[in-house]
Amino acid sequence: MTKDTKRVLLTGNDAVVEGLCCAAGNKRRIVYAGYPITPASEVATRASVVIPKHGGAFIQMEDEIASIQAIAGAGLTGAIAVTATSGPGFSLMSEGFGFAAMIESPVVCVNVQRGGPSTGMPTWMGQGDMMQARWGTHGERPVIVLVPNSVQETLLLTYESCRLSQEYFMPVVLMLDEIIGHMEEPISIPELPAIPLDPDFDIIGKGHRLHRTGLTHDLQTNLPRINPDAEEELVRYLLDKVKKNAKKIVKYETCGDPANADVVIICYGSESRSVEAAVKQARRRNSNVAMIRLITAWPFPKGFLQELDRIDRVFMVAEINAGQMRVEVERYIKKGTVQGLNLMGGRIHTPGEILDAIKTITH
Amino acid sequence: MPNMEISQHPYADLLRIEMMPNIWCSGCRIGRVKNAFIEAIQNLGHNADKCVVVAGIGCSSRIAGYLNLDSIHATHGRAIPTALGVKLANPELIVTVMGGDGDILGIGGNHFLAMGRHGHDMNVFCMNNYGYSMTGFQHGPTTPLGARTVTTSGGSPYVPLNPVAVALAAGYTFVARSTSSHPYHLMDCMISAINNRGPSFVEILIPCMLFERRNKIKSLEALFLEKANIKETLSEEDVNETDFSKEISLGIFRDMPVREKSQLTLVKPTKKKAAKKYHVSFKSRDSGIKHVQIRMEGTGGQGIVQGGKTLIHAAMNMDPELNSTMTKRYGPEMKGGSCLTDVILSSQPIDYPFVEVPDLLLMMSDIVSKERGGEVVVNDNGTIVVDESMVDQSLLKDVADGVQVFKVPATQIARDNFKVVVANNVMMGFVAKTTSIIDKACIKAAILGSAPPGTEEMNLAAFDKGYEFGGS
Repeated sequence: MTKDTKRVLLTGNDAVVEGLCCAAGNKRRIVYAGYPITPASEVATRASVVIPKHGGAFIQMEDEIASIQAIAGAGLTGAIAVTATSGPGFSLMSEGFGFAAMIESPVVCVNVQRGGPSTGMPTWMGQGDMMQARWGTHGERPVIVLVPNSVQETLLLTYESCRLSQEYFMPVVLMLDEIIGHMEEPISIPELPAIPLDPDFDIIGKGHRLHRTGLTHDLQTNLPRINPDAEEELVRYLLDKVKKNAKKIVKYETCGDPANADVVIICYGSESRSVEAAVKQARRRNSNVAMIRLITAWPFPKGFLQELDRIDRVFMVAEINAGQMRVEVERYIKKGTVQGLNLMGGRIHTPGEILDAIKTITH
Repeated sequence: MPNMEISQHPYADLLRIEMMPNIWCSGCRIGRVKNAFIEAIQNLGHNADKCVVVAGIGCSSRIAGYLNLDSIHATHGRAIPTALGVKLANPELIVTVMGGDGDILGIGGNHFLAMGRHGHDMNVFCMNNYGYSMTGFQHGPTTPLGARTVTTSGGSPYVPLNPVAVALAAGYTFVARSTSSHPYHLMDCMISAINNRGPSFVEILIPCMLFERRNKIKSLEALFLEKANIKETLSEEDVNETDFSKEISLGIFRDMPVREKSQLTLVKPTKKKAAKKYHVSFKSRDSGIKHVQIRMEGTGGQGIVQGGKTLIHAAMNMDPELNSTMTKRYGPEMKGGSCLTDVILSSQPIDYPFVEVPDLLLMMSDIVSKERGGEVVVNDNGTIVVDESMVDQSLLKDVADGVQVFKVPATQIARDNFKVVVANNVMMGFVAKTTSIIDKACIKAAILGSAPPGTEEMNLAAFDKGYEFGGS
């Protein structure tokens, strides 16, 4: 990013729309279909103004089920297809994710997480949808979930979500939380290349006359083929999209030296901003602490964690739920001790609370 | 006649031969609807590459798999929104939804209603066979009163929904009814539906063997042929079709041009004021700010969030290199609840985005403080600026000695001179005068940047009034 790019003050929700415009450039049509829900409504508000000006289509659908289905159709027709929602809407979209994965439609869903379950706390943050994003569909499907922690990164990861969805022909979820969605920060709008439409993608309306079905189907003909062999072939093919490319997709960021730290704190989203503040303070006081911030929650950086797991030391997973990603960390940390630092929602830990937690481990 | 090669079949181009034979029961008439659709497309002469069929789940939804077109076999009930996505991505395409009564009117009922409102040029061809056939004939939204199904073995107690009546009410620009036993009439209806430039709906009555068997009806097809009456013009009475005792009216109930964009009569056209150009010049400089935490708190509707934005924009004007973050807290209500905005300005990247102890606290009302049990949180060497017309002064008696307190009746000044809504800018003017965090011109430029057209003068005057008050 060049320094002389003019900075603009935007919320995370606004930045999503700017990220879409970067992804589409002047080459691609954006189709945004959504349903209003706090705290994601502002994405739709901005999209309704910006996207039509950008040559795309904005539509407010009758519900979230319709929204995800509409973008699944639009994705197959060659659009940059997007929706944004929050917990209750995300639950309604579960079946649609499976459908989009099954028909290999490139779609992006933004989930601005709030406190749950059910209606929960519409105007307060939460991180309780991490496992839902991974598993919240019947059957097996490939999953990519990105988690930004600032307004600038929201723009960049929106672009990245579009790129990944178009590269692997599958739904990608961008998990914000209420704090990131509503916080305002000055950001630069970078010049990024428009994401090209894969010339081999048989989009609807170009004479390919292809059938796309949610039924188990043959990979060559796309026509229904319902038997154990077809299921084996199809589902493995779908899962391999992420499994075989996990190393390319996985992203994380570190602060301090996780390989040699006494305590490693794992976090993501807005919570990571507290953790980073605390880790920096602790390190200034000569405490050997490090942070790993997940940028892709899924696929999970399991190889990196396995490399770190050489001696017994504490891996603390700080998150605003009852320990969803901790379960994943526990799968790969066998020599070290995994513990959680959790709040149920509404706020993130203060740096002071994290420092206290570090102290109880190091003393 | 010698045996014809399958490739010579008149429908060969539009059928997926490899999918044959189809799954439908012998005696089922869905195939005839499929053929009527093929003939409609052939008669219209449309490029089949531009025709898309989207279907959901059910016997009739399987049509999508047999037609050699771009087709989507979506999830149950969701054919309409999926089709809408296709249409939005490429408005050139002719998009048709095919499905049954359970799929389109039952589980997809909400989408069916919304499609009429949305008004896009799409067609819904709904095959009504009075129940859920694929799963063994459970009752559906159109099952006639008293009809036996596997889930209403004593006869359905539910009043059936009339698809044509619902489509008319939902705003479809084309609505027709036909049956699978009148293939030429059906094809004509489909052609007119595709030609209509708005949302089109055709209800197609079809017989189902499962329904016949369970209700001891010899032949629904014979019944359709006996009771059906194709009419040139249809009246309101013809909409009613609920059981097989009366006549069934077939034909086009509505075929109207696509709706014009109408003017909303409830809203008065806004007068656009001649845009007077305002300009505030300011100089950017190195602010020398290391880390400042500012909190503005008050009641929703007082412009607390706008105030925070003004501060950040002002800081960006003053020192473009400065990092800043603004977070806000408010309840679900837009107005009247507690509201606070945290602004952090820092020379370093900002990690924790909330103000823990403000260096500068702007109290527009005391609601936040009272919710906290009367506590006023501020740095021991910090500054408090209060709107004395809104804040209970007794709350300030316990603040530390090092805290500077400035008072301004911002709301009062705004009410007396302008409008209450600009109280936040009176506050900004006062803050610019009494504290030295951000330059006056930078704040004024920020206010100008976000003032709605026509209110620039009032907002800037409010700022000046606050600034003057600080100097007296």
